[in-house]
Amino acid sequence: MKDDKTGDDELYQRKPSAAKAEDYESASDETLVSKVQEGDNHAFDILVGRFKNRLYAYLFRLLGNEDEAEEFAQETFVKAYINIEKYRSVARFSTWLYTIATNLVRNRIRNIKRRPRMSSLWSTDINGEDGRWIELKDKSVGPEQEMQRKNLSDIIQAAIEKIPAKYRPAFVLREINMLTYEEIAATTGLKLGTVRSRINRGRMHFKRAMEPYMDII
Amino acid sequence: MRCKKARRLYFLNHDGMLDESKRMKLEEHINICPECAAFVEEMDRSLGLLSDLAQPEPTENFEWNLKRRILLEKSKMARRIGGNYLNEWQWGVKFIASAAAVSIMVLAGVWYIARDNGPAISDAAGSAGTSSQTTHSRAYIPTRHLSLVDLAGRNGSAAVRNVSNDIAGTGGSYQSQYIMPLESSEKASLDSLAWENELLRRRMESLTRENLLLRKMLSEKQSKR
Repeated sequence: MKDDKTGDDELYQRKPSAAKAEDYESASDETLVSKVQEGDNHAFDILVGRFKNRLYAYLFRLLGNEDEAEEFAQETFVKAYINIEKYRSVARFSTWLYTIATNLVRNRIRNIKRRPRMSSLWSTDINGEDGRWIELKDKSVGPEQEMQRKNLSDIIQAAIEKIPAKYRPAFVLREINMLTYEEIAATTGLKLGTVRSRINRGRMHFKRAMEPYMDII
Repeated sequence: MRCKKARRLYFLNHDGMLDESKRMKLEEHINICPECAAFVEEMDRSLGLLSDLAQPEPTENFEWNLKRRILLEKSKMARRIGGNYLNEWQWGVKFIASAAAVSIMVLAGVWYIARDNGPAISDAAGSAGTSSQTTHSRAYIPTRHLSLVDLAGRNGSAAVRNVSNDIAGTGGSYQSQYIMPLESSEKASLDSLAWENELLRRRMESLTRENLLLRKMLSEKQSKR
């Protein structure tokens, strides 16, 4: 763990005064993006602070791994910073961030599918589309014992990971990140009807995955 | 209402997108359909777990690592841009150097050709023989044979040059009026001159024989008278 943070100011400008800092905190996302486009890196710091938790949570729900979620979250912010000039206020900045993150995950899933099957725990259906991690379940352990070993969050995360990859982004963005249908459509590049359909199918899969535990919870 | 439609309306209601009249119809169906009632209850419970779900957070060093990655990315981009610029500069230097080399070669070639076929130096008037310009003849003849030799070129002009008698084998002084252009062509030009001298020598011998024959005929005619 790195404690020395003396290099921070070398990377960015000196932090603004307290009065200006308040302006930054109260500024909208799009205003901060405009400042970043003008070269104000402190504005980017504010944006990172606002979105890092939500973005990380979204990626963790998609990937199921903390290290990967952090890696992808950083990669998303790096891409956003490098390509900040390309951002247009047509969509919200958060939608743009989620779009970058979703594309990164999609590319990763595509790369995983290309790997040899015997080394992958990624299962696909006959069409090769719906992908999910194969859970090596210990069949000797029942739901009650499993509940004792894991906490509720782990159980829920495991249920989310059982949702096919095609439906998972829309489901997570709706149920956890609370995006609207329009925002999810903009993020995923899908039509509204397709978004609605995928969210509902994700819900069905999630309910099915949680069924063994509902009597205990 | 069919169960399939009821489930679709349930999801719309869950998202707050159902109007009052359709919500009432959904409630009516749920009240009379135990399967849909069970579905709604299970769905409410499972989706309800998500609203209370604790959100995971990244590590403490997330922002520091992010800044480091951004700096790394910026330096990579700067190196890429600098590399492209350097390549353009190198390309420019190479182009100029190549153009200069080609120009020098062309000029050298033109100069060499001009020297080979150019006029005699004008101060040849002080030399033993006369000289005039020909475009192609490079023969040298000894000064004592100047009156007998016509080295007319294509334009009919007499071109007489003095040549080292050593080259023609007759002895004499070298009175070349040409400055040998380059060492590499000197041997070739000397060979050419020697061959031309040989031809002239043979010509002179034949003329000498003719001269002797005519004198003999003249003396015979004079003796007959």
